[in-house]
Amino acid sequence: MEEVAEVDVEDVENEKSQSTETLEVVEALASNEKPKFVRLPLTRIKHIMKMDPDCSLISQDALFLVTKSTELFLEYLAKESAKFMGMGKRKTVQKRDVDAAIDNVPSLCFLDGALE
Amino acid sequence: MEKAELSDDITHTFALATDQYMVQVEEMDDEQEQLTAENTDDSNHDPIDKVGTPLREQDRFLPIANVAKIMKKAIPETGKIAKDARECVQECVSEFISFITSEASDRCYMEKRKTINGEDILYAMSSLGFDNYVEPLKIYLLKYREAAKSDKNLQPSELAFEEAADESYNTTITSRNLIAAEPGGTETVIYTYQDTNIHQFQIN
Repeated sequence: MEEVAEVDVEDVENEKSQSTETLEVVEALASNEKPKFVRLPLTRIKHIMKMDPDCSLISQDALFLVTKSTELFLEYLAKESAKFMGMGKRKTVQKRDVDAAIDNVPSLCFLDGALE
Repeated sequence: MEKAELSDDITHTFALATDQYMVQVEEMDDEQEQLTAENTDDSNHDPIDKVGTPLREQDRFLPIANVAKIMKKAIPETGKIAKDARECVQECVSEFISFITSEASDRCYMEKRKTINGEDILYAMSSLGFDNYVEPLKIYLLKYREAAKSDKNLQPSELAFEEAADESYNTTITSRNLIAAEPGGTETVIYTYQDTNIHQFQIN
């Protein structure tokens, strides 16, 4: 009997969506340019992290990971908000779309009530 | 009486002292921007960061321009973003950072460590419902470290990689994808491990 190697479709799709950036990085490396790894200011992010009284020292890795994940989160929040804009047949993402995303998406629950 | 005279003397000395006698509170602000529990409090005034510079309102958030740019990339081409939506997202993002940091620093505290490392951040992601970020982040981190190591000659002091974290990364990375690029080469190859087979994708 022949065993068919199963390709995990989800994995491939995840790879695709997360990899446009990775691709940019890889291409930059290939052409000997210094790749731009983050699009947010590291120092500012460190400041925000340090606002937490229990936070003392932060390793380079940790700072990078927080910065990168913040970018991913930012994209995610924008995408989810845009869905509500689409449902309202509008072309502009408005605050109410962001609010709707917070109310309806489970992983965004932590934002509920966090905004003044 | 002797005693009275003595106290008189002391008072006298104080009165004549040319230096002002002040109570000085030592600020623990010299140790690498270290904010400890002792010198921060929960009251509403601006937290003091290094040498008495108050933290401005806008320093709590990321620059709106960066936020807007990343948002734009994520929404459909034709979409626009209202100003209040941008500001709202800006706040949400800072909230996210605090959320992750809080979880990570809790774990650190439990394990009696002072430095938040990459592992703590990934653990926080996972336990807060952002598990899907963990794998991509590990890949980004690998690339970042590689690039940083090649720059090591320029800025050795900036690369304080925690060796312990390195160890744990090497053993826990189960990522099935490895992206390899030869610097100076024109080819870029992505190796994907599927069970025991290695698939190769080439991108030029």
